[in-house]
Amino acid sequence: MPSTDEELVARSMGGDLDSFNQLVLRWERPIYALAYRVIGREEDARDVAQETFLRAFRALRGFKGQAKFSSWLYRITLNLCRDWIRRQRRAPVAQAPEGVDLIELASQAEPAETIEDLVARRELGRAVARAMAMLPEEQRTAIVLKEYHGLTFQEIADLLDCPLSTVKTRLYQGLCVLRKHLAEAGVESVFARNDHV
Amino acid sequence: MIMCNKEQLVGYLYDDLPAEERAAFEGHVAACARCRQELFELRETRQHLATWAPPEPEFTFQVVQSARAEAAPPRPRFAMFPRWALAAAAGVLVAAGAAAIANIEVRHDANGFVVRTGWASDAPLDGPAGPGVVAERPISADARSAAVADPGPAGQLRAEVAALAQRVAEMEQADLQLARTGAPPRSGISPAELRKILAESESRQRTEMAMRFQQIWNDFNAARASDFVRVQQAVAPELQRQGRLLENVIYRNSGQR
Repeated sequence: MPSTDEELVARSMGGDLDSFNQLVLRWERPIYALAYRVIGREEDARDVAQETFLRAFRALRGFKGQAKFSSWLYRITLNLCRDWIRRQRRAPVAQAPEGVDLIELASQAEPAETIEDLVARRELGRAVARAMAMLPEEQRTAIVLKEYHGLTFQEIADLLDCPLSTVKTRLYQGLCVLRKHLAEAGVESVFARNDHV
Repeated sequence: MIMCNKEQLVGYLYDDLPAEERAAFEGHVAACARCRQELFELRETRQHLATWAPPEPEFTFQVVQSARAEAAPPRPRFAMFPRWALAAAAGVLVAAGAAAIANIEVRHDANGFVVRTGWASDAPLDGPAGPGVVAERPISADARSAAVADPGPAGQLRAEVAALAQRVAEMEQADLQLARTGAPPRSGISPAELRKILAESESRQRTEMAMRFQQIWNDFNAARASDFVRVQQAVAPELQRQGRLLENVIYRNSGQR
């Protein structure tokens, strides 16, 4: 049975590097994904992820276990992302891939998905990335934490140090603006209009 | 009937409402076309969001201690380089690191392979300076800590030399004070003797450094020669085969004529 985060953290505090590396292995992809979606640059997201784990390792003794280890990591990551955005003094950039490799695409296709569907899905993903990059940082972060990391409203409020109602407002406003940007980008509706509630 | 409430709408959208509130909101939505439409559109936006995936990262972070890092197997990307190239790279790194510490002069001329060392100085010395000349001024605390911070053998030796130099300076100061008060000089190692020890220590370090460098050079040459032989062995049969093919073609062409 795999060790819990708390067990690994306790062993890491005792100087067990392997335990800390297990935590890294467990959380590196979510942390990278969070950084990538907040700042929108692959290379910088990788740097942020790496710096997150370095800082976590150095500050491990200061981790009191009041929050979940993952929440603590998220907080470090978001602080680093905020620093990055401040340094850049600009909105995150939605990266456009240099080219589309059809063979690579085909290997990523779902069993019932044609290449055309997959290309359309990738195009839509890029449109979403561009629309997300246009959102204010607070709204984008709230959407990323809720949508892609499945945090509860309360967890997001704790992470962002804001009231619960603010989180919900940011989510609502962010989704509305996003919807508007996507419509302007020509993204078509995926649902039938009569399928409500 | 409740009024349109955006916070409730978001809670309902993410299925994060208490049962009672949820039932009330469903009752509202059934009667409110505007909220129904908004809920539909936000669900659609969430569907769109699901298509955005970050690029698959090609990394695995790992926290390692320096000793472990040295013992870790080389990364596969280095596998494409021949051993002699790696030996050369290692040699350059060692030389660069050592040069940064000890002012190494490396020369390859008619007299052969020459390595000369002398301790680096951060600022001009008060007295004459050069290889083998010890600084007359006291070694600064920064220089001592920098020497101690360097964990390698050169760093240790440098720290020893720095400590000895510091001791010489202290003894000179003490002797000067004794001379001023008219007291006889104390017994023990004199500053001159300590100077001699320092000079010997530095000389030993120079010799060791030269030997190490020579060893790296020898390893590099041996690995290069070995790789060259292996390349020849791999390529020679193919060259012979190509030669035979060419001879056949020439033979056939001459027969056709």
